[in-house]
Amino acid sequence: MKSLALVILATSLLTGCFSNSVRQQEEFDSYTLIDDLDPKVLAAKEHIDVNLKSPLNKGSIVIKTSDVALRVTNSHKWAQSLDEQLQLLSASVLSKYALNPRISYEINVLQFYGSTNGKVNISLSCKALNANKTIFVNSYVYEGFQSDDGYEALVLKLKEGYISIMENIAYDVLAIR
Amino acid sequence: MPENKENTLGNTQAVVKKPRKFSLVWVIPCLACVITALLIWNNTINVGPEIKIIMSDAEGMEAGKTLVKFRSVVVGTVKDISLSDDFSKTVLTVEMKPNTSALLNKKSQFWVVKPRIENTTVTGLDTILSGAYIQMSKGNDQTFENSFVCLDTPPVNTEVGVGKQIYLESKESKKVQVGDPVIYKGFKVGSITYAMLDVKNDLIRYSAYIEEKYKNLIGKNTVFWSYSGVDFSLGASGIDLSFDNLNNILQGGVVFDNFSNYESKSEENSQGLIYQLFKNEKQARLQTLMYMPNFVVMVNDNLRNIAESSKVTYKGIEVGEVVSAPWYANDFDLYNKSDTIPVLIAINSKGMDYDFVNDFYVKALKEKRLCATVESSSLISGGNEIALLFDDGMCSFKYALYRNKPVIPIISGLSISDQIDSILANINSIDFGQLSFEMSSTLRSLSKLANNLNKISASLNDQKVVKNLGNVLSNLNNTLKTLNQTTNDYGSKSKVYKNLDKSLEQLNSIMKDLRPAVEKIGRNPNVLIFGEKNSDPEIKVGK
Repeated sequence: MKSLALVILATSLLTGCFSNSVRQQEEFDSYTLIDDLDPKVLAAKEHIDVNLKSPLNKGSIVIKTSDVALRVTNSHKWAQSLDEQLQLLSASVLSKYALNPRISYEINVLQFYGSTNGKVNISLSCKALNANKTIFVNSYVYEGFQSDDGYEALVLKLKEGYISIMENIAYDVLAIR
Repeated sequence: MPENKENTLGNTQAVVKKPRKFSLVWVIPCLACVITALLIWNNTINVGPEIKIIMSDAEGMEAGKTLVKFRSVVVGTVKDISLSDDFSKTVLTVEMKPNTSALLNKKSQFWVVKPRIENTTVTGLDTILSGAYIQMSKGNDQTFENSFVCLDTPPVNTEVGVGKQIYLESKESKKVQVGDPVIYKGFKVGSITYAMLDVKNDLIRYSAYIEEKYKNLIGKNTVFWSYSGVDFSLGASGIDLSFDNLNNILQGGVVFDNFSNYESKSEENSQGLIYQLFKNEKQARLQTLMYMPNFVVMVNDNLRNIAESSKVTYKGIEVGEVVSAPWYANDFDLYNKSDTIPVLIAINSKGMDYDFVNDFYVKALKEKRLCATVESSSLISGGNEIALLFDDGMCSFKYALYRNKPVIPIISGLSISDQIDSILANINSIDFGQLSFEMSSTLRSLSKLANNLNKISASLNDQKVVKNLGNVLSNLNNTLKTLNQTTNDYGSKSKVYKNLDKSLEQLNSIMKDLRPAVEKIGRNPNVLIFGEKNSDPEIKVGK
């Protein structure tokens, strides 16, 4: 009887332990910034180089949780690598302007995240080169608030902010000419 | 009774005694006479000649005690010591023993024997106890002499037979001492007897005595050089180091040899030939090379480590030597002449007829078949040698003379040392500072990466799933290897290649997706069992 009781007790303990692990498997969402792009921009992306600072390059949406803390989300991922998406998005915006096709761009993204209160931050620096000669360097900052709760609204706001920055870059480059 | 007594006395006959022939009274005068006679004989007839020996200092000399010896036999005694009239010298009056007059002639020599430490010998130790004495040597002259100048050092023994006196002159600083041996093929055949600085001609003059049995070794083709016993040279042809036996190393001396095809230009003075004493064997040999067939090689741009004694080879066999490099007529030619530098070489005609060898090379030059090139002879010293080439095609140059010597044209060749110089110049042009900086930053990045991998692997080690993941990765690795092999067989435009590219992209995507999970497991392995407690933050506008 004693051994039977021990077996039952051990089984109960094990079951108790695993009961917490048996949880519903979460499915993560993937977000895209380039779903609506014209396929023609694929050819124009070659002269744009986008570099993401960590942790933006982790493949997930980043949320600022305090003044000094960033959280890489688990369940909200980018459908494609973010640098590639931004590269295509940049090409899409710049192609709308009559820019010198020989100019290449190096974009270093420092901020591209939202926050728990809905604030969106984007900051980047852009260097334009013509035949490996630097013709233009400038930094850009975008801040805004998403219109709705949740991650979809954040992605839309990030996209909007990035497009506005790229338009500013296009204006600046045009001004050089 | 008294009458009887008188009668008795009266009858006695007187005995007549004969008077003594020699009275003892005369013994003493006779003895005195003999002694006197002996003294007279000893002081007049039995007295040797009295001589005077002049020396700078009478240190250790004592009147009545100091002896004069010849072959360790006492032949005289110092009788008196006095100063010369001008007080600059001391004069020893020596009373020689009888029958020693034959020892005293113009060439007799006297010197003081006292303890003396020389290069290889210690002499006169016996005089420490007995006191100094004067040694003499007999000269081979017939003229009697009774006044001598005492030598400062013992003379070289030249009494054995009648040898040969030779004279040497050297432009180098003094390396040879009086008494040093004259050596021929390792044998001592004579000695240096005299050394003198000729201030007027800035020369050092030596005289040497060659023993009688060796005197025929000295001829017009004899060359002398000073010898230290150790010969070390680092020249164009490499390192040359040789040692002689310890005695010769300590003693040094003068060595001579006879060179064929060589005839000394030295003048002959009233007593014999005057030879030049060279600094070393190399200098002596180079001097003799001037009497062999000489040619000039014009080296381009720079001497390229060609120096005196550099080899001249043909088919790798040494056939001569560089005699002089550069061989300008005067020093100004270095700045006046063209880019070429003349180098005088000598072809070794030892054992062959001079004219035959000379004609052979001159004929080849005139037929445009002979030229030369510079090749490396020693990697250690970086020295080069001149290699002669007999080739109709390569050596088509005009026959020319330089300072009346035929010119052997040179064709360009790159010696090993030149090649090394070129490589070093290229290495020197590399910016090692920048390279080092870049390598350093790369290594730092690699170090960080390795640290991260170590942390991940350490935290994943105990996890089953991760082990499986490891297996999966291993399998993937094998798959990639296989794919790599496959891609070698197929071009980048092939279908297989594209499929593989696609698969790799997918794999890459998977790896990217796995990366956060792996990092998370690395940070907190418990999430595999207990799940993740923290979910993503919620975004609420205006919160």
